Amino acid sequence: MSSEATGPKPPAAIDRMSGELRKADLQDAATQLFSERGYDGSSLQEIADRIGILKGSVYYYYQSKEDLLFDIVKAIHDEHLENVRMLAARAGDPMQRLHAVLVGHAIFVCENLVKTTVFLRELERLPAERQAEILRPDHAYQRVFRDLITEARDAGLVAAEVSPKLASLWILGSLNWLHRWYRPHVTSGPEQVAEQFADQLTRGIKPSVLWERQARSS
Amino acid sequence: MAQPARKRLSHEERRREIMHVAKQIIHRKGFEAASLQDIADALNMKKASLYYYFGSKEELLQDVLAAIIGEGMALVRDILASDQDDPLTRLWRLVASHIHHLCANVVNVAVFLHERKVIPLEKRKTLLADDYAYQAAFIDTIRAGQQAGQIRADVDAKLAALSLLGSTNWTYTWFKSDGDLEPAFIGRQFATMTINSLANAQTLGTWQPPAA
Repeated sequence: MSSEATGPKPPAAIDRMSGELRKADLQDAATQLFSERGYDGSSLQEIADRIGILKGSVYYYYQSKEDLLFDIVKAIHDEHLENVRMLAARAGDPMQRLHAVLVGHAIFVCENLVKTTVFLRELERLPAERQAEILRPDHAYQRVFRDLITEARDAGLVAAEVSPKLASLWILGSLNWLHRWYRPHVTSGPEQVAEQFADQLTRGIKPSVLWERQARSS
Repeated sequence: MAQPARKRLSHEERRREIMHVAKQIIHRKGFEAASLQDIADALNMKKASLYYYFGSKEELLQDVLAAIIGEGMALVRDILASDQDDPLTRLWRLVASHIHHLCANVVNVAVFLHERKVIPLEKRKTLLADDYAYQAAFIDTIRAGQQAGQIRADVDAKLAALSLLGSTNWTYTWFKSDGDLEPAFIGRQFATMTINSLANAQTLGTWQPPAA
């Protein structure tokens, strides 16, 4: 690795940052690059160039692109999970709490498009075992939604015929899809979008004559 | 290496065969990592022979994607063309058939949704147009539902369509054909949630989903 003169010169003012700060900068730059070029289309060299360090410095923290992706995806997943758990624990009946989770999660996605895009698009670039490690055996993230829906169903606030598993996947699909089309400058603000989404999604599972006509999920 | 005996396929049949194999490999490895050599090997062909059917890997991908969205659009057109159905019934059918189609074509959907960006912008137009038309079908049906007094007036049709497209499209990430959930059941649940989320109170009390 002798010909490092090929990359751009690091800015003269670059501080000798502490080890931990450098790693976070590395992850941020990688996240940005992955969102622009895709994980497959990005290299450790390009990541190094972005923040003006030597490729060798990248190897100090990460010996492979995959390890870097793992840390990034895990951190984003855990951030999302902490956010929805916090929202689910607030006061109110299960339906009110579900509504709050949906609003909060939708806003979170709209305000963190780059990170959400990388998480949702690149998770499957990781080998199955590493994906499982992040999602955990009980799909902790999906569980938050599913448990709230089950609780609401037990309280008669969600139709008895609703499958909590399918309902949580229906909801997650809608919210996750936001990253593909939501753009702050062309769409209404996050709060407005979040409110309509939360309203529409919660209405979908409320008791009604229509639901009564459906066969009970087995 | 002795070539196995192969029945003579027409040019078109051969193209489809190549596209089918290419799709599986692109799905497994991603477009970047998939090579024409991989595809040639899977078909017991010489890599050079592939160029007789496709100018490049990118052209092959373009044709694969066009075929996928084309299939989806054909289904949608059939449903929209049935004008004895009221808008809500059309919406039910759009959702139910979308789910059914996705469950039967997980690989197709995955490849389409992941690899679109690979096609350079100027060549993406037809794909985008079809994709846009797909989305428009949902938006128009919701608006028609509002005009017919079935769907709530305060619903933003575009946001509603994007929400339900997200719900249905996401199926390709979790549906397992060997799992315990029947596509027909998933379709009914999703269609019910969709109608339940958009119809006004009066309609919810009276409207019946189609039998099939």
